[in-house]
Amino acid sequence: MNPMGTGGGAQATDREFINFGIRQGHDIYILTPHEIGKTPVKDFELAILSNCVTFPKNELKKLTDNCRFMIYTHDYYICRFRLYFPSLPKCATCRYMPFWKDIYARSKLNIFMSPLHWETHLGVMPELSKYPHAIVPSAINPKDHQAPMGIDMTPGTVIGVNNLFGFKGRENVLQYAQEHKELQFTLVGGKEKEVELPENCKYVGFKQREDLAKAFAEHEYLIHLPSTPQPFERTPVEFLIANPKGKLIINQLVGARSYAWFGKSTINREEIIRHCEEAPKHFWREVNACLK
Amino acid sequence: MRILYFPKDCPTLCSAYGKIAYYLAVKRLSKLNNPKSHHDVTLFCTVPQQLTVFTVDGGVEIYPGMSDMHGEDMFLEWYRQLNADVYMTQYDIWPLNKVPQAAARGDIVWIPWLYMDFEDFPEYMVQKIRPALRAIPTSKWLESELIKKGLGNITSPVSPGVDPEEYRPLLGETDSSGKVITKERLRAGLGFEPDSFVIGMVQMNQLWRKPFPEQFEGIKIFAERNKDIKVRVFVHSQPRVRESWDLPALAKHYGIDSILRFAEPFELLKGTKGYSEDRMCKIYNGFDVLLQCTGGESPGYPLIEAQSCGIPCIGTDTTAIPEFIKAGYTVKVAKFVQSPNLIKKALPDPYDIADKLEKVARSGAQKWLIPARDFGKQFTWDRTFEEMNAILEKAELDIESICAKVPSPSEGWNALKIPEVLA
Repeated sequence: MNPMGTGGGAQATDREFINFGIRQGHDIYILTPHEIGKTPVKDFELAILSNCVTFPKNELKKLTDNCRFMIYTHDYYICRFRLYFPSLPKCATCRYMPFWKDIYARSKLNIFMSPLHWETHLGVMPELSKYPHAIVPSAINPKDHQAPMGIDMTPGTVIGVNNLFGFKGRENVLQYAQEHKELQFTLVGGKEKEVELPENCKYVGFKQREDLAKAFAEHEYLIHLPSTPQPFERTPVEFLIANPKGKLIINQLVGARSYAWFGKSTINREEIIRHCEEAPKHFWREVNACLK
Repeated sequence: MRILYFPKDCPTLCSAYGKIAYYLAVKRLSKLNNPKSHHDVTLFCTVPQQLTVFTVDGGVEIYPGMSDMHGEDMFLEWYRQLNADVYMTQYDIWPLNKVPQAAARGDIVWIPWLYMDFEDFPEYMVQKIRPALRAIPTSKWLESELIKKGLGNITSPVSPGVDPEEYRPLLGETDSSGKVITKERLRAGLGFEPDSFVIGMVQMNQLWRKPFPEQFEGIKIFAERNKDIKVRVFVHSQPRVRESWDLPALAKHYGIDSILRFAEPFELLKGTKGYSEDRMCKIYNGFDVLLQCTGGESPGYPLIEAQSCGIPCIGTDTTAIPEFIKAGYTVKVAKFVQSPNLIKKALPDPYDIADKLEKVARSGAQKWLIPARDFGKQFTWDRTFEEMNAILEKAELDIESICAKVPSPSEGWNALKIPEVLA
């Protein structure tokens, strides 16, 4: 998917990074799976493999054999379930692993999205510690997520985004709702199957980004309870931007929370937003060091 | 293991696909009919059935097709409905597009039992096999050809079998009326004179796969050269099929219509209720030779059936056919024809067909009986099941290791799952 078009969180982060790189004076060419076999790669100074799981493996191999490259790991390329990484002992010997081990070993730099993301990879690929790595958060431009002025927040309300997907912790969220009948839940986004919702839950489907910021501002809490370690999770940060007084119901499988600057028992709002806003600068500092 | 098994033809049909599906999938792979198996098997059949589910022996379910004979419009739906572990195809490879794609995406685990009956596989077809977890060839020839193409997922070959109790030499046995079975009586059962030399042909009426003109021409040459032999031909095939041969017209064209008889079309349509295994055994035993000079086979199921009955076979020297003829001869390929989808089919040399028919006719039936029967005895359904089951049991371990189904996450994360409220 071309990140300069539409897309989800991964595309939004890539878009911020690419725009920042162009402003720095880099010539950046974007290769999607449609172009990768057709574009000569020898003349590039560096290939950044970002969100590249749908690329044909033989083309990725050819590219990495012929060009200096680094990896920006969005989810879990090593796992066919991508964002639902079960982290089982057998993952270390999975049939998909040798290909990616080879790529990570030859990469000039391996970037991960959070300390949790890095440690989860290390758990199944201990040899990663021998190669250069960096940890860079998702790039979030606060201007894109601000809510309109004058919206009233309703106490006792909770909003969740894409929580009806299994890998986003559907069971955890529904259980929490059942155990907290004093709260009213609004569930936004997609769902992978029909589920029976508790009485205090309302499913409202998809919302446009502007409408989502407004909805964030109307709710007291954001809930996000994944069941497997998530690389970063932009939604809690976007919620904090839209709702400066909002609170989070989250667990420690939200990658963003594993940063020291996130805060342990209280949220360091300004620090979180600053780090995500400055992520492109951080990213290119690492890339420029790699280019030297 | 929960298997969704696609043989295209319903197991009630008397086509090779239908019979193989019945004896392997229904009677042996399904644990409902075989205590040695632990597999849950549901069949998915598109021919001739549509729009309803029904059950066969022991309660084995048959799921229907919709509009695509190759099953590509429904396989994913059935796979998900059944929560299947594996989609097993007992079928050609060339018509399948969505199946290999789904396997490559990881939406299904696919194990094809490959029926590829042509020479010189084009690259696009080899690429289709690549996403299979394991691909099971039906012959040593196919195994070797696919390995030559660089495929790393090819297993040892598994050939279909026959029931040795059903397919056996009948001469000398007594029938239900207490009369001794003789060749003369069996020939009479086919509608021929007692002293005739009966050439049997058991092959589908299919334009691309079965070269009837060359075979009829070979029979004509043989009959003209050997006036002392009372040549008769029994064709076990539908005489007229839309978009294929009008076989009575073709026989007339070659001047052999007066010596040729066809199986009963209506009985053929009744499937195994019409031409039962018992009846087929009597038909084979009435032949002096099976002429199976087709465009290619792997393995060529009637070759196994006929030899199990002690009958010699003549087949084209192409694909796996030589591997499956122990008693009999192969015939030179006159030339290959290529179809638009790059499949290469052999056309047999009619003069060589005539030569080989003459060799069999002049050699006497006794020469062939023992070697044919002994060769046929190797191919039992129990052996097929054991070989197939060994492959499936190994595949089960792989399916577990590749997370064919979404696994539960590590319990190590439980401590991090606890919800906390942060302000």
